[in-house]
Amino acid sequence: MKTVLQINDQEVVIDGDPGLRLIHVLRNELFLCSAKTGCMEGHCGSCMVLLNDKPVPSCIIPAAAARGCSIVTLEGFRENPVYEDISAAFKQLNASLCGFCNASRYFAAYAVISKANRPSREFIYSQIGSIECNCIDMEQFANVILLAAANKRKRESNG
Amino acid sequence: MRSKSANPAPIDFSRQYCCDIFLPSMVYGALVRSPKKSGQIRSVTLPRLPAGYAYFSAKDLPGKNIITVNGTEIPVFAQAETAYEGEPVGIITGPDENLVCELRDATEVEIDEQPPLLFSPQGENRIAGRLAVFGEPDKAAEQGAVYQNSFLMQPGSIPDETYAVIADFSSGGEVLLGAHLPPLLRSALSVVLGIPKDTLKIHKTLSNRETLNSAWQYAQLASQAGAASLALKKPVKLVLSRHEQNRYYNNDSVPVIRHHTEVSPEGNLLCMRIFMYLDAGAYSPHIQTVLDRLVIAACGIYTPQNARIEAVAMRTNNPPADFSLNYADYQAFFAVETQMRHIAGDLDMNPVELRKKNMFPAAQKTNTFFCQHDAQHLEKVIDTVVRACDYHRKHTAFSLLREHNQPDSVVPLRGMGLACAFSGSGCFNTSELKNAITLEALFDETGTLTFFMPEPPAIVKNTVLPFIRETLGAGLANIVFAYDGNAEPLKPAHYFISNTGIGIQLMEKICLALKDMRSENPLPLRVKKKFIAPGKQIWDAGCFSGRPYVSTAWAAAAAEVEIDSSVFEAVLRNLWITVDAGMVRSEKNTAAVLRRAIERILGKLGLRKDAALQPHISFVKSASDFKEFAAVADNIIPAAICNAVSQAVGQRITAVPLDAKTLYAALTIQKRPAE
Repeated sequence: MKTVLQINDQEVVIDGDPGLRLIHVLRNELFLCSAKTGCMEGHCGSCMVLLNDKPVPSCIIPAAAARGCSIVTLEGFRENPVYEDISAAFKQLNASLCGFCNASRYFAAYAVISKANRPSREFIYSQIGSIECNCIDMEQFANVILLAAANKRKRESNG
Repeated sequence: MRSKSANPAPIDFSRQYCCDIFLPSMVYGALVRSPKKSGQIRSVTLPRLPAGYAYFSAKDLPGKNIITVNGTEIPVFAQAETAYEGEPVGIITGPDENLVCELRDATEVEIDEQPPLLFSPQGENRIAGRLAVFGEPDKAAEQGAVYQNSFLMQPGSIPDETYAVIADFSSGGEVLLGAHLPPLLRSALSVVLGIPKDTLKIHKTLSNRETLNSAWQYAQLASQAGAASLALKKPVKLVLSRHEQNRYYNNDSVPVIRHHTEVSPEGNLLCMRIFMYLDAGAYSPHIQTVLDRLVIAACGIYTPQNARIEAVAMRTNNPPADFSLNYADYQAFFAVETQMRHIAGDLDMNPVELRKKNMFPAAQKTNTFFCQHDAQHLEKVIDTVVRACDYHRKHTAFSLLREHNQPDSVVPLRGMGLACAFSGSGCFNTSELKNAITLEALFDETGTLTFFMPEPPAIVKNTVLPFIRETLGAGLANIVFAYDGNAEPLKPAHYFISNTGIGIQLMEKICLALKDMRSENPLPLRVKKKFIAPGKQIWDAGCFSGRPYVSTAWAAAAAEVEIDSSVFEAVLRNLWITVDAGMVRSEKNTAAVLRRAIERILGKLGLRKDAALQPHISFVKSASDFKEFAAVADNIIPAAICNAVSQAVGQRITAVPLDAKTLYAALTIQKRPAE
């Protein structure tokens, strides 16, 4: 069965089992490896993608269920100016990621600063609790998000 | 759809996970496994394999079907008989990963089943043991009050990359994998595939997983993929599924630890008899190291007047037990610290006082105990954490809270738990320190400081790199790690993993030497520093006594826990940790390293915690060299939390993780007398 997906602003036709999980399509068919194979139960966050601009774990979503939705992986998210805001914040705070949780970190940060222009620390903690990897600690990650929000505000005011 | 050839093959693999690498004309592999624990393999029935798909087993190996590690012979593929459920029998390869897995699932392996070896302390299948005796434990028997407990600690795992290997023998021999183990890998592939060692190229890919077994397990996977690649003349990628990884490779073996402690009414430890036994699984080449460390850590920070400590391991038909590098320490400390809490409770004695009465003395004395440590700052560590958390007041208040708690009370149950432990760096009882550890660095004209070593773990980078940047100042443009995994002579396999403290000391010494030389000499500057471990006068492996570690970092933790009796859950409200880490150059960076370690163990314990919980971390600073300390979080936090929960519920809790069932049972037992 053929399924048409909108991935990173490109139309992609997948020919195969419609029950195939989205992560398998992204990794094995399209070689978009920012989504990692983690717990495969939807709670570790390693396989995070943006589905209609909301972070979701791609390991529990059948590819066919994502028809008609906009899917953005971390590779595609690099085109978004917010990526630079977040990326600069990681660099400014010397917070180096393990490489396995990058998608969950970037999309969690994106979700927070999309919801709140000036997020409070409490709000951040309430949003990022589900990330299981701890290559950086929660306090450092909260600082990254605060700085990314500041970078975003600065860019938008300059723009 | 993009074609595979459109994805160019990357050249530098060191910053990529192996599972993310795709090579042109690569095929995928899936391992066919034994469905039974023990027995003779009668037949392997394959489904009809489409064109381009193939099956390889032991008879297709050009060389021997054996990998030898520490004298233990482990088959690459089970051939005549199987030693555990899930043992690889063969490998199916093909261009479509999903189809390869489907074909693997459709393969039938028939086994003439035999009774498996069982796990029991009385079993005859002991493969290793260690006994340490101090004083006269048999004469001391039954002098004081006796406390007996068994302990179990089984922390969960955090998802990361599963084992993945790419073997490319299409032209020459190249292997990509996440472990840094050239010597073992070379010899294993050479024996299994019958190729000369020097023709092999090994590329280390990114990996977060390091256990004692990972080295030989990677070598086994590389041999399996390599055999297929050699026959097909194509790169073969073998990635374990999460299920395979958890069930057959990360088989957490939980030791059963039995403490039998005799204590005088004044709280002096008269005798500790500790018996520990564990299931080593079918193959366990590093089991003696694990048992030795269990025995060294068994009495924790205490020096009982008499002690008999025995650790034994049994071979069973379970998958090989997986041991992390500090596995033995955290299991042993958990047991002894929870035991001390129970003793203090029964003697109605302050837990701090009981600990101080029996801990290692500050002044170094010989014959204090069979293990010697420099415990100069131990008391200060305990005092600091006790003061920081207001332990005495809270402990008393929470005891009263529990005693006067009514079933309909709105006041939640709370508890304070204390635990103390150490983390040893550079173990004299292993062969790693037999040779000098050397580190060389080059500071060149471009301002680049190159350390000739493998990329160190995060703890090293986060601790020492900020110090180097501060010390060398503006002239330092970049810090890089250059190490060719194929270079000879090879460094020790766990160069900076098990000797992190030594690694940090060497890097700091190089940095300070460069700072001194730079004022008088032009760049480039090359510096070499060496660590030579003292010999037998420190540790006597024959008598199993002496000073076991190069350095010992002491730590104490206090945890405050509240019981949510609506869902029978323990909630961590606060955590205090004090560590004696020697000369801490940057408290902020060092605390960040410890904070990550704390989050890791809390994540593994699956404990609910206040969202904004910030552990209170403090250091007892001293002029001694930097001590490796990151492992102390694993060693003290589970016991501190368990002790806090024990106080809150008024019952002896001797196992973690704590689930709702355990807490429900503890709380209902407590309420029964009142009812």
